Amino acid sequence: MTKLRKRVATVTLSAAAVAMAAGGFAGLAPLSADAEVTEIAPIAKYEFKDATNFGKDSMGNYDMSYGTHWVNGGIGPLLNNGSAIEGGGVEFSVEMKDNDTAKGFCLAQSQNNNLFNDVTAFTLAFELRVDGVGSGTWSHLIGVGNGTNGFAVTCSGGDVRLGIAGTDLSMRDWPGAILFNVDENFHKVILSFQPGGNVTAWVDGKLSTNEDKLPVEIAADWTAVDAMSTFSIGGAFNGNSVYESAGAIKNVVFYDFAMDADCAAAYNTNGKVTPADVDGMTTITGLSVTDESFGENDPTKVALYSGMSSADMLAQMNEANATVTLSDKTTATAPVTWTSVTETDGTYYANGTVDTTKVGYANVYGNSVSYALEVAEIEGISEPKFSGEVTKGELRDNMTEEEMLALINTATVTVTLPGDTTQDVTVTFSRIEGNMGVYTAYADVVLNGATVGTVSVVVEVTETNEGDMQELLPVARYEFEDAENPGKDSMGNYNLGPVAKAGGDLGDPYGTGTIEDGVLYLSGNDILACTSMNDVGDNLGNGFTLNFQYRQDGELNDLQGWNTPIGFGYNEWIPTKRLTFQVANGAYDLRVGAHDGVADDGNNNTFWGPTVVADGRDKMYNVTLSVRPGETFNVYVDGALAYTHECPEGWNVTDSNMAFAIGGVCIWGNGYNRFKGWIDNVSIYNFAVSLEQSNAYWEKGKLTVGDMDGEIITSIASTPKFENDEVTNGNLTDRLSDTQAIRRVNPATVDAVFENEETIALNVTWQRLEQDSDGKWYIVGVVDPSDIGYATLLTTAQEVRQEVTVERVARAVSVASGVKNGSVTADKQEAYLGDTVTFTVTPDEGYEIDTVTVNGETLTAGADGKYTYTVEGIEDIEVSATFKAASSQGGGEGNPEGGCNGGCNGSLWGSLGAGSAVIVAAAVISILFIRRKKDNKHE
Amino acid sequence: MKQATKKWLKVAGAIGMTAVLAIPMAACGPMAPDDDAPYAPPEEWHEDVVDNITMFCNDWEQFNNAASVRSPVYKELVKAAGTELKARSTGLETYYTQLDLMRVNQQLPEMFIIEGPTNPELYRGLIRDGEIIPITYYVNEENKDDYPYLYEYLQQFSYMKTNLTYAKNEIWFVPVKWSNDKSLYVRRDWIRNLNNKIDEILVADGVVSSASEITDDLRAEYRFSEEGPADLGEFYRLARAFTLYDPDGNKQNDTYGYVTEENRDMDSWLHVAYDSPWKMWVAGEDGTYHNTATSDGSMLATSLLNKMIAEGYMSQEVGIKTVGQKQDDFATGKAGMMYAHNWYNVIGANMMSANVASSIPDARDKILICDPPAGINGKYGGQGDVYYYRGWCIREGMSVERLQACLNLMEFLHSPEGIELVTYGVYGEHWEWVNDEVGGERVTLCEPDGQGFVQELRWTDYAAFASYLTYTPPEAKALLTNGDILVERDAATAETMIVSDYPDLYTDSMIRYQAGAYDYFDETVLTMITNSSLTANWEFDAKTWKTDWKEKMYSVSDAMRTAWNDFVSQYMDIYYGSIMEQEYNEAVQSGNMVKVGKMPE
Repeated sequence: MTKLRKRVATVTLSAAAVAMAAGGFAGLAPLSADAEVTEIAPIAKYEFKDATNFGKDSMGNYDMSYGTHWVNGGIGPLLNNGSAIEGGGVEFSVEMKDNDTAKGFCLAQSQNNNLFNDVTAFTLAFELRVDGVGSGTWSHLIGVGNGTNGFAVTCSGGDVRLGIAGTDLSMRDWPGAILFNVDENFHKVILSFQPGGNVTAWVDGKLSTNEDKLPVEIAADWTAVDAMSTFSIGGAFNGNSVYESAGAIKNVVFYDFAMDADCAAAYNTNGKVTPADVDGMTTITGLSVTDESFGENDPTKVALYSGMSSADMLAQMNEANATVTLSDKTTATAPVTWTSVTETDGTYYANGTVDTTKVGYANVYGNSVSYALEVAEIEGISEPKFSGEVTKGELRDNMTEEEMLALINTATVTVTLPGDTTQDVTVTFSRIEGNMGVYTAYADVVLNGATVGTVSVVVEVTETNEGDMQELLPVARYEFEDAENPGKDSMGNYNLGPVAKAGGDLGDPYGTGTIEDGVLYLSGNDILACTSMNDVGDNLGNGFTLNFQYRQDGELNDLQGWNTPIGFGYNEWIPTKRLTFQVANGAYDLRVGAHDGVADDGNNNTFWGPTVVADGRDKMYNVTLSVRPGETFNVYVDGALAYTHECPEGWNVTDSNMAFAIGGVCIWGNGYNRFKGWIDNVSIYNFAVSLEQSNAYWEKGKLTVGDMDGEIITSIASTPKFENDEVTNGNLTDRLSDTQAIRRVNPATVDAVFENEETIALNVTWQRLEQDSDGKWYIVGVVDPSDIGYATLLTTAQEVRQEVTVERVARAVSVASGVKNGSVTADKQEAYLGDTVTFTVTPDEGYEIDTVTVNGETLTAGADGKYTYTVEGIEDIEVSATFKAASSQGGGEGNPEGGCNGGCNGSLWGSLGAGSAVIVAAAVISILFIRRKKDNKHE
Repeated sequence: MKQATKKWLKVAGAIGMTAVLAIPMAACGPMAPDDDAPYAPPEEWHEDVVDNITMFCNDWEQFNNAASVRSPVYKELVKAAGTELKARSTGLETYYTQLDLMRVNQQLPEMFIIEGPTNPELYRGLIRDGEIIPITYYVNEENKDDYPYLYEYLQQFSYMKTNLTYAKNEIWFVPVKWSNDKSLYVRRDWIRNLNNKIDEILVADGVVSSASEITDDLRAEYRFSEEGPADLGEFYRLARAFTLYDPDGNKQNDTYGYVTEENRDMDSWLHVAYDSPWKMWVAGEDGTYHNTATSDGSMLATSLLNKMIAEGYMSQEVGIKTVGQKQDDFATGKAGMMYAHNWYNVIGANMMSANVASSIPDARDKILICDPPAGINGKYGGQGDVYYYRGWCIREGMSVERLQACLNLMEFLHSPEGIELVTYGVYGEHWEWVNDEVGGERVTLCEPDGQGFVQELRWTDYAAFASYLTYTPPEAKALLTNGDILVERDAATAETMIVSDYPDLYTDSMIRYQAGAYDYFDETVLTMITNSSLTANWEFDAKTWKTDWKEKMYSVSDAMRTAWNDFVSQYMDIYYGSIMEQEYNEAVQSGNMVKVGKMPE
């Protein structure tokens, strides 16, 4: 089945929405200025501090890049011949042997991001040193040169000049205006352009008036935007670079207004502009957005309703031009960019920024504006109503989400608007979420093109349990459906029972909780646990997954120090082995604790392990613990990774002191750390899962073949591979117990094959030494698929056999001591497995044979009156016989000597059985003495 | 640490508490009007089938797990008893409450465990009220051939027939024989570290004024023995060095010499070294018995502990620290010495868990376990008083067949086969002969635990919890990991065990007052140990210590002497010490009591 929509995404979105509604943007007050402006920022600033990126604009607006040298009919070399100056700045030079080997420097803006498209008035400031004329008869240092519009600072001969298109200071027709002469020094230059006013230049703080050529007037429509050229440094740039120059430059800065003399002087001194510096200039002193700002449009494209998301509301905002208030009481307009919608005290605000760069005046106000929106309250949205069936056909869990959605009919919901007017809306279900096998379809309620709410319907989905949807069964599943048996394991493997309060005394146990609506409630005095002899924790050595849902019931202060909703326990008060989830007294956060540094506080204290749930009181949390020894120990909570750590090889929770428990911990058979709250849907799988698989479990309440993405074992080989290719490490004989034999066989593995055709080696558990009917000996083992640490549909243990050489060893044949009133002889002193030993049993005169036994097994005489025994097992052969007085002697009770070789009356003999002949004999003798002594006492 | 370890710790603590509570409770009841009445057995009766017998003991519920899977050891036990076996269990904290309820409801199980004569009120009551059988009435000289091993075993305790005035000349339970199993643990690696910087220590202690004066002979003279402290003087010097000279080499002042615990008899070895066994009746030169609670030896031991605490050479939490915390202090590298049970593997496992040792061989190398140091008269060893820990009673009034099953089981468990069974397990399942040479060396077939330790058999086959029923010799641990050390220590500690001349002798006044008087002793000593105003005023001088410790460590401050005299006066008068002493000596002098002495192995 396809993965349905990830629940985690929904949760995250909801959480964000809650944060916004709670005032996450409340700090942005409506219709107010920015915080106090302390410096008027430039719109571009080139500091040349990064030698790898000299074209970087520190303001992030107009980065420049290297140009290439112009050559006739092609593209010349990249002009990147600049080197950094300590403290910021770039030094550039020209090596011009010929046009093909130019090594100049040229940084240029792009026509697609041309600063002059965004401004009217502006100021350009820089510090410049010129090292000569450069590559030709004249050279370009900074500006927009060689076109019909623009301006440029150039060098010719020993002069550095400013040329401005459209003025007498023609750039093409020299002479322009001299700014300074070439020398070894940096010169601070400020150029102020005010269309409809003047171009003013200050050099080293002094107004430049060279031959009265400056200041010079420029027309109101004057612009530096040139169709051919862009702003460049080091060379003129019109697609390629020409007139490369030599020199150095620092602190190139653009402002979106034209400085006056005071402002220029302040900048020249301080290197920045403050509101005080522009006091004498016209400045921007206010911004506002009113209904008129939207022109002929309404503020929003559609009516807004409170159920709409902020993003939806923002998307409905129309364009607006804010009113810009100037210090000279005049106004201008500037465009608004809407950036967010927020809610404060029940009022929704559209928030935006105003681009004032083209206004041409220094902005001492700021750029933020807000506009109060009209948002109508939705009075209600009805449940979805279907005209017929909810679905067009059967939904099956092997369908994709899209396939399921296609089968769900549209429905009608009634939206109640302000004033109790209603409007029916047809809704189409667009997503399905699963939660522990309960599937819910969701549809957005769209009114006037905007989503005003969401409705849902629970849909029935048929479990197919075939193919990819075949369920991988857990080893234990606690569903809490049987109120009479709260610890019932639906898998029938590990039923949970009551837990002793102390001393392992189940005569006085804790309670077992109560079940309500399929959920287990633990009162703080309830625990359920596995028995120590059948503890699921003892059979998970190769990895496992524990899924559970829990919710804490308020404060836990009235309980003992720690409260454990679920866990496998710990082995000692100072644990060396542990795996539990726990909440500290008076706290709400769920922690996980595990030994060997897997989950502790960093100082081996596993009680204060990492927090995986911050506050477990508000809802049922879905927690998945996934352990794969040798790899990872992961905890997923509500579909997200909450904790991960490396898990050592061989890590496990097997310990005779520990038992898996719900509602507390169970150690030494006693309960501790009781929990108060709800528990549901506990499952334990004998393999680890990924986050995606955990989510799949959470969605469906089960795991399926398809969830494993090919990581499922489909077959296990039967041919063992032995450690170091040696089968045995000791001599095998036919007198060994299985335990002895398997100790003498080396560890071995067999290959298991995954569905995705990868393989893995699994350990063989050797079980016994056996001889086949063909006389050959085999060491026999199994690989039990119930504990291999990987998912599999295999349910039968794979038998593994290896032929081995076994030495024959003789068993001694002997007659038991104490045989009375007859004799026994054997035909051989020693015998081998399978041999037949023949016994001759001869009673003394007056006696007859009662029983003949070999190693406790009663023999029957053959036709020849002899007894035979075929050697089996590993023990020596001891034959014993009892004789009774021959019936012709009168059949007395007991023998004349006071012993009792058989036939003594009394139930004691019968109750003890033939296998305890020697002991029974002793017992009967003892009873006789007891009786005798008691009789004496009575006397 | 396995469950048994922890639980037996709890057992030890709770026994003391039970004893304390039992005395005043019992004092309110009838005082055995028929102590002298001869034993009168009930009428015999029979039953056709004995399905099972139940044995009640604390903390051994795992035995039933073995029954449920019919483990190899369990099957052998059933074969011996001729019937199924069930364990009934509870925590020690509630054991005697449960037992009392069973008595009241007349539902005693077939067999149950008690302390026996060391809890005289309960033992006396069970006898007086006819609730248990006299074992020796059924296992005696006349039928010793039927119960040869049980008979022989009980012979060791025949003194109980006469030394217990209420015993009607019988033994009423089967004692579980026990001997002292505690040793001194020492961080051997720390000793080596100290010896590696002996020059520095000699200068610091003022033995020489500079390192240039140190000769090899001097180094040899002052080196700390890697065999541990042989006498009290070396013990003090080593504890001091463990505290002052950074034995773990971590450049921090975070170690101390000796750690003890709330269970005060864990310092009994010190009393033994001072020629005054812990809470025991000991004859003076004139043959008169005195209780060592008031002896000068106890005062000297108290004074030394006080001195070491005052100087920081010993843990200050004496009286608070649990046995687990004590072990942790040692295993985690805070303390250099402790006196503890011979749980070498437990300590080693703890050190490995705390990353103080990296492996079993490494732990072996770092831990020295040895006899405690001797006093000036060469006395050393552990405390015993009696040669048993607890014992099993058999309920009175059962059918002949049921009684027989109980006795059969006990006989088997005291036979070589039974001891072998609970010690080593079943051949081929739990052990085998090395190289299949029968009668040669045994080797375990039990799997080691996760840390690599082969633990006691009961953790492989829970039916081996039946070892609670009987005595297992020191070699029972031979097949465990570190078995050589365990066996050697168990044998050595048993050898040095101190036992009363007249074990289990309780006069009427002792039954009434002894526990209360001992409580007073415990509380007083604990207060004295931590009272800095009582600290002895002698000073350690490294240059003269080899000789003058015998004088210094045998002296106390005037304040201590005064306080001790006050305590003795109170003990003898207010806590009936004089009356108990008088009665005890009268009983000894009566000639009716059997002097036991050293028990044969």
